[in-house]
Amino acid sequence: MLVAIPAYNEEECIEGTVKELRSIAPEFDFIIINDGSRDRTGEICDSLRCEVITMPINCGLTVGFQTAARYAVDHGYDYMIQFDADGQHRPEYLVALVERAVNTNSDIVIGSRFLTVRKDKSMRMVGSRMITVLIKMLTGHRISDPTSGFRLFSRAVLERYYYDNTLNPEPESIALFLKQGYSVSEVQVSMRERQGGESYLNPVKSMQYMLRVFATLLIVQWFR
Amino acid sequence: MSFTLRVLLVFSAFVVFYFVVRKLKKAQMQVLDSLFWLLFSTSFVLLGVFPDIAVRIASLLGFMSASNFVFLYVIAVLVVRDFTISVRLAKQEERLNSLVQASALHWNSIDSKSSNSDFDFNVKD
Repeated sequence: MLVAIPAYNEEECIEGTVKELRSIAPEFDFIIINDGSRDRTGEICDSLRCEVITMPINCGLTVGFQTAARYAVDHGYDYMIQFDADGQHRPEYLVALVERAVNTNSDIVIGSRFLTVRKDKSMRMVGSRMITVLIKMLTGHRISDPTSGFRLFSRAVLERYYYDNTLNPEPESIALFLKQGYSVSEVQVSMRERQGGESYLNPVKSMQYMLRVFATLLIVQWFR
Repeated sequence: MSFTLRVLLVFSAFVVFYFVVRKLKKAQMQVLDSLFWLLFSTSFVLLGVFPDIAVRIASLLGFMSASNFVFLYVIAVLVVRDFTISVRLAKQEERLNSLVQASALHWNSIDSKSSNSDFDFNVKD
């Protein structure tokens, strides 16, 4: 099992995340993908003696994730878990994700905030609801938290990421995997607020994100 | 708006559509870019099939004819598109340069390390 932690300018949080991982989930290997950070993220990782992949320029979450997937496949890992550097995700739940994957033979396990908890009424959750409804209509499966960034991927799925760079670690690809017969399940988790630093999602990017997810689900995937 | 122009609009919309779908199939186009072209070609179809839209807007804005408005619409959209493309291109060039620099410096440091070890080796000998 590999925990992949994409990090872009996370100097405020990365140390806490790494220390917490080491103390709570020491049985997991982890790797940080330093995605062209312009702050002290790289230095901090070096001083903590972590495994790091350093991207020479900022390439975004998708490319960072694809790189991690290639690393996981090349190094023979059976599962890779996508984990945020900003402290939102709790390492306590790593075991629950892996157990679910092993017990149910799932290809993707999502750490969902909303399996047993209701979504609030913020704009973000309106977007999340719309994606849930759309995926339900297109695939027949209900994904309660499609935008959660806390996900486990099996080797079979990682190999798909290895060879197909149109796949991203986002709702549209999960819908595609569902359509193609891969099994996706969810585990209830709780998350924290980010522990410092800045989110990459500003209003313009959020709009682009929603547009992209919808366009891919409704239009592009018909042609591929 | 002349019948020829309407037919041409609808025809070119289908040509654009065909090429976008082909590029999408080969995964040679990004989703948001394809969305732009698909919406743009849809607007051609709308203008071609319902010429009233162009006539109304043209008279509202005081154009001599509906076709003049259609020309301006296409040119304006493409100029904006061209501008954003050149901004993106500049960014790509900058990224490419810093990537080449990172790679060159990396190889340089590897080379100097290996020549240093050669030197050490010679001294020990």
